[in-house]
Amino acid sequence: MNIAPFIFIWLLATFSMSWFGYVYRPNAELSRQEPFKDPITAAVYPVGRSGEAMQGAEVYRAQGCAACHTQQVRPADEGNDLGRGFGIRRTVATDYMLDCPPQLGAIRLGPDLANFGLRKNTNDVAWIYLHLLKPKALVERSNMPPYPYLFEKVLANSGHPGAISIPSETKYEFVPRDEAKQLAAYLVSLKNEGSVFEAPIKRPSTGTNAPAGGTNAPAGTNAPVSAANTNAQAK
Amino acid sequence: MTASALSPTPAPSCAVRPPTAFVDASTRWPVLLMATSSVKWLALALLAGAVSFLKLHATGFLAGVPALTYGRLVAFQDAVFIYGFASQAAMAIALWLICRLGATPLIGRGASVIAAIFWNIGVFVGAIEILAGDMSPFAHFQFPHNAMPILFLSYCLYGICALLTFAARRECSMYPSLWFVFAGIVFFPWIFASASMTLWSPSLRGSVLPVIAAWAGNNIVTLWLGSIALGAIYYFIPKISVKPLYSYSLAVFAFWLYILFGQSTGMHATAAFPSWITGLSELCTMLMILPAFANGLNWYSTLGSVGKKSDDVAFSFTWWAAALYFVGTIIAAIAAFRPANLFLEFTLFQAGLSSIVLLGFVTLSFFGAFAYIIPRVTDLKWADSMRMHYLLTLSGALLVIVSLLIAGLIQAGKAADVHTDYVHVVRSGIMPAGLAIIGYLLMLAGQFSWLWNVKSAWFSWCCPGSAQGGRR
Repeated sequence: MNIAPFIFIWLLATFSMSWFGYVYRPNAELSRQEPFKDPITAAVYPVGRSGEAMQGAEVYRAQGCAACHTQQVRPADEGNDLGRGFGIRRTVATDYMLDCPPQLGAIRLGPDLANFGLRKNTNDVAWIYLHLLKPKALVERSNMPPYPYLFEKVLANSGHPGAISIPSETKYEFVPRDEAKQLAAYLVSLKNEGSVFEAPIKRPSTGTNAPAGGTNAPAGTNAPVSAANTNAQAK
Repeated sequence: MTASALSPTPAPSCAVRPPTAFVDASTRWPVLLMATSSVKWLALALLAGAVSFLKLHATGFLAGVPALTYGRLVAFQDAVFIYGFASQAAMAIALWLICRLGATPLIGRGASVIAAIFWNIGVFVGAIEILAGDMSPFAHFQFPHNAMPILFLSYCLYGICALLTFAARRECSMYPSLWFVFAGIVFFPWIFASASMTLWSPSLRGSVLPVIAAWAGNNIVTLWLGSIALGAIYYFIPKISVKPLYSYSLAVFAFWLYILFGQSTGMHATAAFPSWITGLSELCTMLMILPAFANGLNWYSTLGSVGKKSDDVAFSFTWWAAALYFVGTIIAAIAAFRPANLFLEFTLFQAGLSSIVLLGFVTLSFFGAFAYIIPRVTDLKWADSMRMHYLLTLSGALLVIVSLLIAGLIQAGKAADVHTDYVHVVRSGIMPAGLAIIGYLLMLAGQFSWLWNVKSAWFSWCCPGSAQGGRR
């Protein structure tokens, strides 16, 4: 008897289970997912990125940054990511809902960047440029490769606005190209600070009998928490 | 509980069988084209692997060349390995096994060659675009969307030839190798099409994509490459050791468990997925021990007193592939245990686990198959001993695997202490992982040896008396 047709049918039936569970069902459910609107503060999370930051996500993708940097923070009881300052809560699917594609990464050969924007902000772009241009100038033992092609090399003191210099180079300065600016914009836009159902952010006690709903307040109401982390270097 | 290696059940032949040499010869051109192309792609992937690890140590090395930045090299290495080498080698081996075990010549020889040519064009397009910076961040699916239709249509053409040949087989009974090969051939287009239609779709939410990517990436390895590798091991262990397979029923039992659990593994080393996904993945990865033990028992009992005494290179490759499959499954199961998973996730240990499967289990079993198949389909004998290829490939693969696993363990140990500076955590793993550079280079030298052997054999066939090789 030819058993091939039976094997074929059973293979289809068996594999359909995982296809249905991991591909069809998530697709049917989550594809209609919309940003969360806090019923109390009316703040929306996640908010989309600016055009420049979205272009920066493409630069991030093109350089393959996800090969070294994850964008996923573990919960407090699973590892010490929160203790290292990688974020203020665990990462959930809602955080990268609007990213296409999300760049979660799988191996850390550098710090997690899911909340880079909580550690560095738009005032720190010079630091970001220098880190892209010569990482060892900022972190002596860094194993991050430099990205000189994201900058235009010009003579020192030639009056280029925004030019940055590196300590070991006196003759030249480096002007960030558009890709470097976009990448910096993307990096500072990385912040998972919305308080969501799966991962609420605990706010410091105010000493009042504020209702529990307040603990689910999204971005705007988390100023004390965010400020505590802003400019904090990941350990 | 024993059965013949080629006739596991007493099913009669459906028709008169053609001579084996005729069946082998029918696969000559597609198999030879796919095999030689796959090894060339493997050489490129290994070179990319060596350079990428070198860049972790010498960060300024080739830093001014955008195409060779670390992230692109890693993506290039992975994608070229999966599609250029492993998938293409799997297609060649599956085609030969279907013909040999079905006792039927290949149907659609010209179409298979065309499929192989276009498959290589697809890999070439994808590889160039990765170096140009157009790639996806998903493991095993880094090729940009415009390379995927070429690969898919090439596979469809190949798949039609393979399935028509399968349907025309003259051996009615299905040896366990054919079960695995059949499953791999059916699953690949399903997985590949599901990923291709979703991962590059702008209409899907980002929250869906990593789950689909993880499912597809795992199954490309487990159910496609792993199935073909197991099919090859099930064929060559009894064949080369000239012993009947210990148990047909045990092989079928292992097959269904492998398919059932294998499809949900490999998705637990992540923090952003819903907990049911990571939990189920951990459970299934641990349950993969069951088919591994069933397979291991079957192979061990088949070999019996033969053990690993054979000097045959094909057998030696296959033996190591089987051993690494078994050991790798156990290590993966231990690493999937929740506390171990939390300890090891995001470290180079994950790359080590991947290397056990891809460089150990898959690559070694495919080379074992090539060592047996190529001389038969070409009717040539190797010009020189393939021992050099075997030693270089095996030692290189083991060096990569061991160095990455150790590096990951060190990294995890350092990362567990929150007060340890993260630069120190990373560097503690990178230093031992540097041995992987030597491993990749050893494997690369092995592939040059293989290609040289094929070239010499072919040359000696064309010009008799000019070299050691020639017609068998």
